[in-house]
Amino acid sequence: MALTTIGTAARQGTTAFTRQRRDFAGGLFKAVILLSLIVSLAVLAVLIVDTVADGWAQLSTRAWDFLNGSLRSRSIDDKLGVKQGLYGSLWIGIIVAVTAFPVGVGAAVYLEEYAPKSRWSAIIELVIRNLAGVPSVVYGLLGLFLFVERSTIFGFLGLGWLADATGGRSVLSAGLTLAVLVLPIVIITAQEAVRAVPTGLKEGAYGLGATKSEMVRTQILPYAAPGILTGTLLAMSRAIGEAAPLILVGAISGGLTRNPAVWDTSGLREKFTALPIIIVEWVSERGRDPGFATAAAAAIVVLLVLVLLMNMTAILLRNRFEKKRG
Amino acid sequence: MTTGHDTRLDSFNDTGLYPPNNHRDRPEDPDMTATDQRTQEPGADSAPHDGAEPETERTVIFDVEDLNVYYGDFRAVRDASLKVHKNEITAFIGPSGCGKTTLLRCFNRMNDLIETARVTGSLRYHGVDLYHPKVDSVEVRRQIGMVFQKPNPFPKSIWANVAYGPRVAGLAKKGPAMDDIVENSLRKAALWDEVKDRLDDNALGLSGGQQQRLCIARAIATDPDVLLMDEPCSALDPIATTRIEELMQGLKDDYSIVIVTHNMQQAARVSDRTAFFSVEVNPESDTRTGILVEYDSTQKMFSNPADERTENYVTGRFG
Repeated sequence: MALTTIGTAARQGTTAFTRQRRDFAGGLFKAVILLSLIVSLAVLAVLIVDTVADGWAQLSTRAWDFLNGSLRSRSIDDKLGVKQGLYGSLWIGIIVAVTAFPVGVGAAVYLEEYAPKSRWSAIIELVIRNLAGVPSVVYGLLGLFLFVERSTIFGFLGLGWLADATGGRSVLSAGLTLAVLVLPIVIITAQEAVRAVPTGLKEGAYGLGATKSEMVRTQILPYAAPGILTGTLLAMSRAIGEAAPLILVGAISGGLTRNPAVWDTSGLREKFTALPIIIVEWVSERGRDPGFATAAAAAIVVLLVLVLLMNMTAILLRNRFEKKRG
Repeated sequence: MTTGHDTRLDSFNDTGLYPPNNHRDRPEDPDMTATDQRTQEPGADSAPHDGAEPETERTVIFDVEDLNVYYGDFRAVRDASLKVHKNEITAFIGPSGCGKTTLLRCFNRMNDLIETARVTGSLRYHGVDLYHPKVDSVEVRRQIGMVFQKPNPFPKSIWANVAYGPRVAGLAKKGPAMDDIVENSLRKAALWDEVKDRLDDNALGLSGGQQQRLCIARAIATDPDVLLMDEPCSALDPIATTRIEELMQGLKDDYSIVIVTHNMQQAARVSDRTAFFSVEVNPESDTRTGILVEYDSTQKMFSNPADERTENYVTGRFG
C-alpha cells in the first residue's frame, strides 16, 4: 500500500520524501550518546583545569626552579622541586623501553609466526591476556622478590646476583619491575600488529625464496613497526604513571642525598624516587603544610605533560611509519 | 659414491641442481636427459594432437603421479596425474574449489606454509622428488617462482621489489650487478619503459596491472626455471589482462609457465596444454574434493574433449 502511495505521489509530481513526523526516539538516542561524550570530556577537562589552577602558584612563578629542585621538608623552601622524581620516572621509562620492547616483540613474533597452533599456544595466549590484567601491586611484590631482595627460589636457585646487579632498592629494580608489568601489554599489541601483516606480503617473500627469518626481518617487522612502536610507547606511559609497585620495590619520598642530572647513570643503582611517589607524598603532607597541595598539583602537571609528550611521540612515529609504508 | 638420484638431491640442497644464471643456457646434463627429463613413451597419456608438439620433443618439468593433498582429514585433491612440459604454458581450469590452486601451490611447496597440509603421491621436478625429506623448500621456491592472484608488491621502492629475490638468494648486492638484474627483469616483464625514471618510487603507487607486471619481474629476477601463476589477471581490467597475456607468450621462450585461471577464454588464448579439474562432493562428509578430469593439448580440450564433463564446462554449460 505504502509503495503504491509513494509511486502515485511521484507520478503526480509531488515528492514523497519529505519527513512526515518527527523521529523522537532517534533524537533522544542521539542526545544520550552525545551526553556520554560530553560527560567524559567534562570530567577530564575539570581535572586538568583544576590541577593546573591549583599548581599555578608554583608553575607560574618558579617553573624552572621547580623542575630543578629536590625533595624538601617545607613547601616554601626555595629549592623544593621534582628533579629527583623526573630522574626516576625518565629512567624507569627508558629501562622499560629497552627491556620490554625487544622481549615483547620477540615473544609476539614467536607466538604468531613460529609457535605451532595447538592447545598449548592457546593456553599461553590466554595466560598473557590475563597477566595484562593482574593488579600492579602483585607485580610490585614480584619485583621486590626478584630484583630487590637477595631471594632464593625452590630452596636452591639463588637470585642474589640479580639484587646485587640492580643495587636493591634502585631505579634499575623499579624499571625492571615495571618492564615485567607492561610486558603482556607490549606482547599483545605487538601480536596484533604482526597479525595485521597481509598474507600476500608473507607469501610474496616466501615465493621468492626467502627463509622464515628473512621473511620476518624484511616483511613482518617493517610492516608491524608502527603498531609495535605505538604499543611500546603507550606501555611506557602506563609504567611511568604507576605508583603502587614502586612503593613495594622501595621508592622513597625523603632522605635522598643526591639530585643527579638526567644523564648521570651512577644514580641508577641508588635509592630513588619517582613522580607518582612524590605526588602521593606531597598530597599526604598537605595537612601539615598546606603549601604542599600546590606543589602536588604542579607535580601532577609535570607528570601529565611527560605522559602526553610520550603519547604524542607515539602518534607522530606511527603516522610517519605508516606514510612510509604507503 | 651415491646413486644418481641422491647426488641430484644433494646438489639441490646446496647451490642447486641448476646453478643460478646459467641453468637454462647450459647444455643438457647428459645424466639428466634420457631417463628423467623426457617422457619415455610417445603420447603416453594422450593421442597425438595438432596444437602442441609431440610429447617426445618436449622435456618434462613436472611429473605428477597420483598426487593427493590433504588439509587435516579433508582431501582437497585426489589422485592427480599429469606432466608439465618445458617452454610451454600449461593452464589449470575448473570451477571454484576444484583444487587447481592447491595443486599449483604444491609445485613450489607453498602448501608447506599451511600447518595441516599434507601431500601424498609423487611430484617430480626434473626427476627430483620435490617432497623428499632432504629437499629444501626455500631452494625450491628460488627455482620455481610464483605470481599471486592479487598483486602483492612489497611496500618498498620498485627497485627494492625486484632486487628482493636476488638479494635473499645471495645472487647480488646493491650496485651495478643488481642494477642490471633489476633492469633486465623489468624489461622482460615489459615494465621497464614505464618505470625506468622512478625506480625509487614506492611500488604501491603503480596501477594494478603495473603492480602485477612488477610481481612478474620480481619473480623472474631470481632467474627461475618455472613460473607458477595463480589467477594472475583476476584482479585486473581487460587491458591489463591483455598485456599480461602477451607478456606470458614472450616469457615462455625462457620459462615454463603453469597458470591457474577461472577464465576459460584466457586458457584457450594463452596455453599449450590445459588440465580441467572438477569437484566431487563426498556424500557422507559433505566435503568437496578436487579431481583432475582431463588433461590434453589446449586445442583438443576446447574443440574435441574426450570427457563429457570437460565439454560441458568449456561450452559454458556449468561452472
